[in-house]
Amino acid sequence: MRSSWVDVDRAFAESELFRRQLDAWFGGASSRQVVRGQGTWNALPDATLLDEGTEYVITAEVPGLTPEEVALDATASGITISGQRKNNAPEGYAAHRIERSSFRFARTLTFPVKVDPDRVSAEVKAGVLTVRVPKSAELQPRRVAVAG
Amino acid sequence: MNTESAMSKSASRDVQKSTPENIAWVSPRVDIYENTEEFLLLFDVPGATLESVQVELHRNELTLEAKADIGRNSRGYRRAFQVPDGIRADAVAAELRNGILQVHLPKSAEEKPRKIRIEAPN
Repeated sequence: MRSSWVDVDRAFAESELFRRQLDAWFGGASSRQVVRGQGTWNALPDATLLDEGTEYVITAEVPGLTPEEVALDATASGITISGQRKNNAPEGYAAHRIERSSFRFARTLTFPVKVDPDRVSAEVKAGVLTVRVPKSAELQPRRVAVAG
Repeated sequence: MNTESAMSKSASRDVQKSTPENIAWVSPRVDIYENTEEFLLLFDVPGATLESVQVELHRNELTLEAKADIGRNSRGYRRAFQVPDGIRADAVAAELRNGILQVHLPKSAEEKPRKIRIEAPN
């Protein structure tokens, strides 16, 4: 019998590595910081932290997670994101190949400036978590009238 | 500082706002399952948009392609497999939920196991 479930383009599997390299290069060239798990996917989903001026924006890949499965705690100095994807093998099936793993993560990000924990917002859409962390209002520039 | 982040913002927009050649293509992770009725493939495709998903079965080759916007980055998912014989190409179905793409490949009648009745002679 012909062997099945062979990746047709083996070379393509290498592109994941290439993407990580690209991310690293772009990370150096802009204000973006790439935050990654240590070695394994299980440690932390791929995530990006951007300084947008008035707020920080964190984007994390959490395929399969619903909003209820992600927890977010915010303080004036940082946030903690945590979540878990349980083993979601369908029932009554035999497995040929398992690459997608269950994962569990908890990550605390501290910011160099004070943030406003009351205005932190987050959404999970299509397996992507986006967290917006506004910087403290005290840090926003104010126009000062100059007396003549 | 504001000027700097504004500059890098417009720079990354130039680089990453997606003409097709600026998409970073990756190979999505997959789980492959089988029961008596079908093969079931689960792909992690966070950020993939429904209208961009293409699943094709041509002869014995299954190809998946999808595009995603994750934050400011554009990404493409692409993967192809050699699949077993006896899949009903006209009944292949896929659904996208929470960043996971499920592809169902139903088996043709000949590939499904049949119960053989054993008759005892009286």
